[in-house]
Amino acid sequence: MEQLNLLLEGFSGALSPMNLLWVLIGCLIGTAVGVLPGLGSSMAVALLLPMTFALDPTAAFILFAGVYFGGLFGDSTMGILMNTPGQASAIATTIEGHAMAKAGRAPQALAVAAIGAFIGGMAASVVVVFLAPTLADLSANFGPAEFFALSLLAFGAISSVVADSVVKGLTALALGLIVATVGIDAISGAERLTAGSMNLFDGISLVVVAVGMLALGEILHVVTRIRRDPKPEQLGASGDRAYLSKSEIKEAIPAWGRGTAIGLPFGVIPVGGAEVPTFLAYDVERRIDRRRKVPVFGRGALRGVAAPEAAGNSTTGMAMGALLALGLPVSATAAIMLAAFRQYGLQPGPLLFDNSPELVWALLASFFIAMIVLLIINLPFAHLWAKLLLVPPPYLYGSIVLFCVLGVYATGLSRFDLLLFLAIGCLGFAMRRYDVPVAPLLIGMVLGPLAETSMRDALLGSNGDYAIFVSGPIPLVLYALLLIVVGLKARQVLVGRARRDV
Amino acid sequence: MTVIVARTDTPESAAALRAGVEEARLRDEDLVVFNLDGVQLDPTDEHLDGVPVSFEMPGPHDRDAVGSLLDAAARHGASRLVIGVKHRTPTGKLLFGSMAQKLLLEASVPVLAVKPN
Repeated sequence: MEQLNLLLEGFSGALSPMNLLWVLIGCLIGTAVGVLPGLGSSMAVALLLPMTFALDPTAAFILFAGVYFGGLFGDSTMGILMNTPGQASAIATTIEGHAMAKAGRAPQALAVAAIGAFIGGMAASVVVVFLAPTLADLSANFGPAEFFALSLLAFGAISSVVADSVVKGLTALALGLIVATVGIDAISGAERLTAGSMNLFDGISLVVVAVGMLALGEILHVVTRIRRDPKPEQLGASGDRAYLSKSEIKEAIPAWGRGTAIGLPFGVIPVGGAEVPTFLAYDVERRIDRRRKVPVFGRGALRGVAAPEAAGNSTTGMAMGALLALGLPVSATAAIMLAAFRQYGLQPGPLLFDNSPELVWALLASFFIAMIVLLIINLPFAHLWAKLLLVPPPYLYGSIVLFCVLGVYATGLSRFDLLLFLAIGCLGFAMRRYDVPVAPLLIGMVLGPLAETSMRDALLGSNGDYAIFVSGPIPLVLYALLLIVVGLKARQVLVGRARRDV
Repeated sequence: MTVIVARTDTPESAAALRAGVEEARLRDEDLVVFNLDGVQLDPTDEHLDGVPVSFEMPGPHDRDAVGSLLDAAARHGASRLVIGVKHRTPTGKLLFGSMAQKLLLEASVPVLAVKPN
C-alpha cells in the first residue's frame, strides 16, 4: 500500500492553506465559467495558461484541476436549468435534466447531477491513485517506437471520433501538425515554414494557439450570435421539495454506478473527452428504462441525469491519470494542461512520478479535495450560480478578451504574438462556424513534436530500418487499438446509412 | 389515444403513412407522424383524409432516433405504431442492425408493419 502513504503525503502538501485556497479559487472559476453560456472548462484552462509563470507548479495544477472539474459541474447546472449546455459533455445530461426542470423537479435534477458528478470523480480519483503508478511503470518501458505508436493512436482516434465528419477532424489535425513544425528544427537546425521571419524562428507558442482558438474564437462565435439566439430563460427553479427523497436516491444509485463504470475506461482512450461516454451512459439508461413497466424517459428521468453526469466526471478523472502517467492528452483541456507542464519544463509520463512525486501526489490529493469543495459549492447554491447570467454580456466578453490579450502579451512580451493571436482567433472562429473541431488541432500541436522526434529517434536507432515500428508487443497492441477505433467509426457511418429500413 | 407513424423518405415509409391514415380513420383516433430523420418531410398538412395529424421529430441532440420514437409512442399513449419494412440480407442485418427489428421488438404497443404495394 505504498500508494496510500504517498497519497497521505500528497494530502499534507495539498492541505496547506495556500493550496487549499487555489483549489477553492479553481473550483469557483470553473463553476462560474461552466455556468456562463458558451464558455466551457477548456476555455477557462486556456485563459489561465498564461498565469502559470506567476505560480509554482503545484499551485497551478491544483488550480487547473479545480477549473477542469468545476467546469463540468457548472455546465450541467446550466444545462438543467436553461437547456444551454456549454460543452458537448453536458448535452446528454441536459436532455432529461431539462425535462425534469420543466416538470418542476429542478432541485432533484441538480442534486442528482451534482452527486453523480461527485461519485464519478471520486471513483476515478481512487482508480487513478492505484493505477497511475502501475501505468507509469508500464510506460517506463516505452521507447521511441512505442511513443510514435501512441501518438498515432491519439491522432487517429481523436480526428475520427470528435467530429461528425472524418474529413473535418483530419483537417484540424493536419493544421495542428503544420503549426507544430513551424520554427527551427531541433535535430537538423533547418528553418521550417518560417517564411524567413525572425519572429517565427522559435515556433508558434501553444499558449497563443490555445488562447486564440479556445477563448478568442469562441468569444467571436458567441458575439456573432448574441442577438440571434433566443435568450436563455430561467425556469421556475424552485420545486415542491428541495431535497432528494429516499426512494429517489435508491433509484439513482444503480445509474450512478453504471455511469461511473462506463466513464472510467474512456479516460485513457483519446476520443476527445467526455462526450462519447456521457452519451453511451445515457443510451444504456434509456434502453434499461424501456424494459420497465412505466418508462419515464422523455418526461424527466432521474437516471438519465445521474448516469451521464457520473460518466462525464469519471472520464475526466481518469483522463488526468492518463495525462500524468502516460503523457497522453485525451481532450482539448488535457492537451492544454500538458502544455502547462511543458511551460514548467516538466514532462508528464513515467519520469514525472519519480522526479516530482510531491507535485504528482499533491495534485492527486487535490482531486479529492476539489470534488468535496465542488459538491459543497454546487449542491445548495446552484440557484445562486444562475444569477451570474445577470452580468451584462458586453462587459463579460469584453473583459475576457482583454484578459486573453494581457495573458498572451505577458507570456512572450512580443507584439508579433498579439497579431498572431488575433489571426488564430479569427481562424478559430471560422472553424467554430463550420463545425471543424478544435481538439484534433491542439492534440496535433502538442503530440506532433513527440511523434516526430520519436520517429526520428527510432529510425536513428535502427539505422533507417522501418521494421522498428512494428517490432515489439506494445506498438502492435497500440496499432491494433487504432484499427479498432477507426473500424468502429467506419461501422458507425455505415450503420447510419444501412440500418434505415423503415 | 393516437396512432403513430414512423416516417423517412423511403417508399416503405410512404406506404406506412397511407396505412397509418387508414388505421387512424378506422379507429377514429389522431395521427402522429414521427420524422425519424429529424427533417420535416411533405406532406405537412394538419389533416390527411380528414384525420387530424401532428408532427414530431427527434430532439436536436438525439443520437438514437428509434429510441425517441418509442419514447414519443409512450408519451402519446399510442394504440398502434405503424412502420414500413423492407427485405434485407441477413448479413446486412447482422452487421448493421435493423431499425425495423428494434421497433418491432422493443415497442410496448402493437406494431403494424406494411410493405409498399
